[in-house]
Amino acid sequence: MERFEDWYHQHHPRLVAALTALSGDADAAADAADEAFVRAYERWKRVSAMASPAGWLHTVGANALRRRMRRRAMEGRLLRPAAEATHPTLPHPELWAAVRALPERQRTAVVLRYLGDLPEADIAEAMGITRGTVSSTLADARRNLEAALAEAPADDHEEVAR
Amino acid sequence: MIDLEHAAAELIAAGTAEPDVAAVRGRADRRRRRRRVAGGLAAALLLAASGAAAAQFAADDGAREAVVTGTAPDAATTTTDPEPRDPWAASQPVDLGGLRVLVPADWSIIDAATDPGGGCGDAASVVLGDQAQDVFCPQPTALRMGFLQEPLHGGGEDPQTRNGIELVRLSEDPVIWAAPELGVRLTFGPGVDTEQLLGTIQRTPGQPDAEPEIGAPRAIVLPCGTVVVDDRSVLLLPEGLDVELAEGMGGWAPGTDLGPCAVNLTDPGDPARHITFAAGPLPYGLGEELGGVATREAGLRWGTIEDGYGGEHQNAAGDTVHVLAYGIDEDEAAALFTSLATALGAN
Repeated sequence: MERFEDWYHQHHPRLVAALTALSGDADAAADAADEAFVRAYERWKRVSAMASPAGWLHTVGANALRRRMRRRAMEGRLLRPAAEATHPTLPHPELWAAVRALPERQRTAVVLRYLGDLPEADIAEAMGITRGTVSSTLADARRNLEAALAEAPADDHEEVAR
Repeated sequence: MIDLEHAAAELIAAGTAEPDVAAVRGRADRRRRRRRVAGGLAAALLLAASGAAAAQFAADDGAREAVVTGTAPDAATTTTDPEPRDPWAASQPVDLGGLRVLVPADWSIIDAATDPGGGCGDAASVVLGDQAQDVFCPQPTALRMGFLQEPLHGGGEDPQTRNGIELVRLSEDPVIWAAPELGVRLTFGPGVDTEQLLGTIQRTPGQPDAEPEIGAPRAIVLPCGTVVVDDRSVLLLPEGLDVELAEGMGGWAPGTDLGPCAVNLTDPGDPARHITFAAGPLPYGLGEELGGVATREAGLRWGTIEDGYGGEHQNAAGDTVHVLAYGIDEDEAAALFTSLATALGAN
């Protein structure tokens, strides 16, 4: 059985980056990632025996992130309107904003593939779709991203276009 | 063409959060301890397989045939050993309330309250939690252990006594047994050797000395004075919440302004666990978002909200106090809101 510590150090940066890309909020991403790792640690024997522990981790992390964002919306309504959170500047903000604007399935597939570094089989397992659908979803996502970035000011995406 | 791989590598390298595996371990451990103390939604989990414990059970209960048929849906397929293994050769004790059951060491122990799948899975497992008995799973788990919703008064059939604990059979399909004295109910999955499991039941050794404290009495004064919970009317707050962090951001979502009329209490070891009291002429009510309303005492209404518990109370002047509590369990929430209703009634 892989040691939890090794697995944690291997996947922490990727999960945080993936959740940051999904939310645009580094603080919320870090909190949701912590929650996912706590849950993984609590049931490590079972998680480590899964076909794709990383797929499970990203799914739990994304669920935790969604709960946190919903909670924040409620808190913001109950109290004073939330001040615009300030976050450190992340590389390629326009690209990740365009990713967040993708339909949910495409957005999830992109994040799992490029930030989670999951193979298509694991993405299919995590998303509950076939491997062929993963391939076509990623192709659609790339097309949509190129179109979206083509409409943005050139200096916003030059660095990521080749 | 977009170079997503390059952009992803840069985002990962940006490393917006430092890894801290000790914090993850500590948070998980604290969570586990709290569940054990509260004795509400989960039980103490003794995960280490213990030959000594198995021997003790055998001595207590006499020799038994270690034959299990269809122990659980895939218990037999999880091993690649050339020789079939006796799943009972190594066992682990599982405790709920004051009851202990010995189960095969390779069964997973799942907390229904925190499991993403709600305690459903395809591996041999024991699911623990208040609601464990009410969850429908396409592939039943081996054993679900929950607390009785209502006290039993001997209405069951076929009462039996094993290891000094009265057991009552509540149903044959599915097979459900209860230990009324301990308030524990056990639902067995199909194919599980029920007799074998029931034969291992005994009282949890070294029972807790006393009923665990749900919360500690604390006094809170909300700055705007619309509601004062003072020394004469204290609240039962969950253990570990630090009032010193009042008005700090604590576990409150970053970017949210608490305002001058709020108090935030946070567990320093687990920021996801926090309670916020907000008072004043607030424009927003929890309204339809408040589910499972449990009390309207003293004008306080409380119930479940997304991922936590919420309550609201309106005073004669029309000002409202809101309470949002996250990361606490049902028993802690009941103690908190019941004491809050009492406190509000006293003001």
